[in-house]
Amino acid sequence: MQSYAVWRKGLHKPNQPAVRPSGWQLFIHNRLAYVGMWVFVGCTIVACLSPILPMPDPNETALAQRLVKPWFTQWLASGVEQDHGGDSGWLGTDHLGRDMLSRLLWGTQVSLLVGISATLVAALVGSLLGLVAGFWGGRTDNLLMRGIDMLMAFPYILLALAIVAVLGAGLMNALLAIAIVNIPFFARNVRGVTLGIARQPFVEAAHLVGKNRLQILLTDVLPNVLPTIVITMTTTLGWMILETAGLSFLGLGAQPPQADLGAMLGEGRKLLFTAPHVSVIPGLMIFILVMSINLVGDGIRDVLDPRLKSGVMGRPAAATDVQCEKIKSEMITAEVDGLQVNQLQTEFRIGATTYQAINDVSLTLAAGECMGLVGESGCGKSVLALSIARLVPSPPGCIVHGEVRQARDDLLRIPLSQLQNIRGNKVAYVFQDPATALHPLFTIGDQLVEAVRSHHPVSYQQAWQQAINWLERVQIPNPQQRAHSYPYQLSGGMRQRVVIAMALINQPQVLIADEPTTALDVTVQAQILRLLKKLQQDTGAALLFITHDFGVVASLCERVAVMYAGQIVEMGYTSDVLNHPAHPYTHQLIRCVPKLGNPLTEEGKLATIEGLPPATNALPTGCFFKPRCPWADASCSKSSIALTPIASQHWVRCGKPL
Amino acid sequence: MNVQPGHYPILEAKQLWRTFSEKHSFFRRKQQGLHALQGVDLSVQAGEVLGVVGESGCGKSTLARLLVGLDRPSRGDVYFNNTPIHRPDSQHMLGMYDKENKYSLAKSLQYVFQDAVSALNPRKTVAMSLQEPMQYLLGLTRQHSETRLKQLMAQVKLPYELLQRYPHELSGGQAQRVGIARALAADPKVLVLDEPVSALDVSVQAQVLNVLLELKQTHKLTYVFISHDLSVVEKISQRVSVMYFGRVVEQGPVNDVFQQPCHPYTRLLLASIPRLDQSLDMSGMDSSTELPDPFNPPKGCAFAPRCSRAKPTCFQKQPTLSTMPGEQHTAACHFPHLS
Repeated sequence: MQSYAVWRKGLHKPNQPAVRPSGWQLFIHNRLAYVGMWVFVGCTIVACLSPILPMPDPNETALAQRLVKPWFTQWLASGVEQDHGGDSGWLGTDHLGRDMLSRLLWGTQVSLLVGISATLVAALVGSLLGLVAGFWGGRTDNLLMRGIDMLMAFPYILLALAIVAVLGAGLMNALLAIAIVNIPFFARNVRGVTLGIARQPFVEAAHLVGKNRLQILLTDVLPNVLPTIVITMTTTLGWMILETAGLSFLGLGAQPPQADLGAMLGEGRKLLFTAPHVSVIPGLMIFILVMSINLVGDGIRDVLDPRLKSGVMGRPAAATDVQCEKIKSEMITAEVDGLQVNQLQTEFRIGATTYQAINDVSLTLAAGECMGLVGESGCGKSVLALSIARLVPSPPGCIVHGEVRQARDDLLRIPLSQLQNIRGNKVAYVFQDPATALHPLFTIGDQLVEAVRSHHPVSYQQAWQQAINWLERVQIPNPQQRAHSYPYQLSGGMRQRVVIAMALINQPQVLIADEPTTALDVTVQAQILRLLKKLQQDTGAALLFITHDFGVVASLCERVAVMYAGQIVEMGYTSDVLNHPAHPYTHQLIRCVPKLGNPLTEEGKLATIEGLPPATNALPTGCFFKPRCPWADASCSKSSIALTPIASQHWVRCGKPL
Repeated sequence: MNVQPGHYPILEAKQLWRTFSEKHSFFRRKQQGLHALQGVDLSVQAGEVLGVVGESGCGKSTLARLLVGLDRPSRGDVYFNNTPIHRPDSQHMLGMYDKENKYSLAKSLQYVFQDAVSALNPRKTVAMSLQEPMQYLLGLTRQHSETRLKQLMAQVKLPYELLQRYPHELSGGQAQRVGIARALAADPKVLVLDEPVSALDVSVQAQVLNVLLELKQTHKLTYVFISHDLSVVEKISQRVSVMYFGRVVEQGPVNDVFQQPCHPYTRLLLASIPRLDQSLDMSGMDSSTELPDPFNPPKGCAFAPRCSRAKPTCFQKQPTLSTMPGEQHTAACHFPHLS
């Protein structure tokens, strides 16, 4: 029965979402780290086995056999393999006739032991200090960190030397010195991470489930800090071995006759020209050891903290990749008045998975028109907005089909220089978060001037005058003075006005606003909407307004397109779509919006759409909304459904429109 | 205990003040404090839902944290069942409590966070997160909590399979329902919900609100529901408090406040909501949206600079909550709309 229970338990596992590669799989995927691991494991095993291997005593001197060369140099010199015998050793002997191979392996063992112990001591003490300082904060933090600062104020090899000088030379003291010197490194790293974690809502939540601070520190904070500690340990271990070797090299670590890589290096230094093998062999060993540890450390870091992975932070290309042939279009020479998007398809390719973010989207935006694009998060509305000017980051983004026509150009196929001239000039954007859309180190006046001057050859004076005019047009009080303000000196609403001014200052033909009022309060939102509407009417720009809020669409847009799972499912005049929605999704979504003054349903509930949108890497066949649709039947999943007109200027992607 | 709504106040705030960073530093002079709450009076009746609405910077999140004891007031106190929960002598961060009091309070008063995903420990499965309050507050062992886990998941309408998942594998709506389940795990009487549905899409928002409405019925819960979305508050609350710049400016039954708003700020808020059935009113009511300086709050009414009805008195004298037409309807305005 026991095994049955275990088996049942195992059955629940397949319900976990998409199979994620385990940490080990990720690690061995990294070839260098994998090789490094085997080298390190090999070195460690051989070093551990040195007491039982059939080798001469490392400290046994044989002055008659001084400075015997390793067998391979003898072989290279004579071309004939000479008899080197058991007692002269594979790697020759040093100046006292001691066997090099034996000394090397014993020395590696000592170096590894000291390095690992020093790392453990430093990690334990340093992490403890860091955790306590970061979690308790206040006075405790101040006191501990000032102490750490004092430790760091000394050049650290000097500090290590001083510690050894006080304690006396010897391997144990060298270990202590190296550990102490490295404590600040751990303490600072761990404190920084702890500080961030201790202010996370889940730590506050832990207070509210009745845990005391020690329990929180051990069960909530520590598990989240642990990866940092492990990463720091793996990256310091190699360094620690180097430092041990350094101290021994200076004669402060291992004392003769004990074999240690650093001490061997120091002894061989004097014979560098007469018998190079005495110093080169331990030197190579240190190199191999440290290198392999560093490779393993990098591999572990990549697995535990993917954000730090080298190359991930790389800049995306200046424009999204376009991988498709030109569409055969009849109106190839016709000038488009506004913006026209035809059969656009954008994908994200991450590993072996392809996420179809945009699926066959076509829309036309006339000059002077305001069109709303509505959908829930993840439906692809922002990706559509970015695809228009090829701003989707590449990799992983990629446009695989379609065209975007503006004036006489297909924006997907013009050269980059031409595209860059159109961006911010003919096609401008307003993004959701005005705080990140502005550069924090330049005044808003300078940023507006830059926007003008990067597209028009005007003087700074002229551009500045234009900037002030536009600040006035977006109703910023006292524009002459405000132009000298930095973004942080303005409120959220004011900043969004500046961003709007920046978008409109070059009189664009197309303005794309991606949730421009979502981060703002309602009263501010009402003002910004009024402002946008007025400016759009004045400038005659075509406005594509992306939002999740039907109320905003109703108050601003003449036409609206509703998106679901990367497709437009319904498009038409705002009043038609809102009052007579034909697609079940639009219908259900409008019912979900809580409206002031509308009562709850009879059961005292709000209308909902059950379920979740489909994942864009596993879209169902046929209608994408079918799994959540109360009207769906077998016919809905047969083939993909096209956007078809049901009335003049009203399109629906549904086999059975309401 | 079966109580009728409105019978007795279960949670009260009396003259609650909170000023941030008013401290002497070694090198700096005494800093001017940021006045987040300036004398808030609230009273939540057992079994009701009190909505708290206001825009960013009005102090509603600070209020929520004070109500559950995540922060200490500078002045005034919060009373749970007529017992003050913040004791002036304790220096503890969750300053309310000596040990026993803490547990008894956390058992009856719980909090639901705005950002549901980051309120769950990323290294714990849903089951582990839900077991914690049972273990620390109710003293249940792992084996005994198994049935209760299933019960909780059913109550928030989540499948049991999710118990083995980690927070990053949940959608926003699922994570928020786990947050609600955790708050309910120790069977509390009062839930303080700080913008529980603001980060969710409308269809998911409706699902979570329905769960909350149902739980309130079945568990006879009392909610303090904090939100910036007036239409959501209208759906779920019986009474509502409107906050502006650290003070309650209007308070009363939802229908009275939303249908006959007396304070000019409430009227502005209601008029600003974009509606499905009307296009934009291009004649804006207010020209400025800047809040007063919270480090140096004005002497008179904080809303006066934005108010079309403001008279010299408004800039001189702080209005207090006074009775308006309708039952238990109060507003802090010298010249309220009374028609």
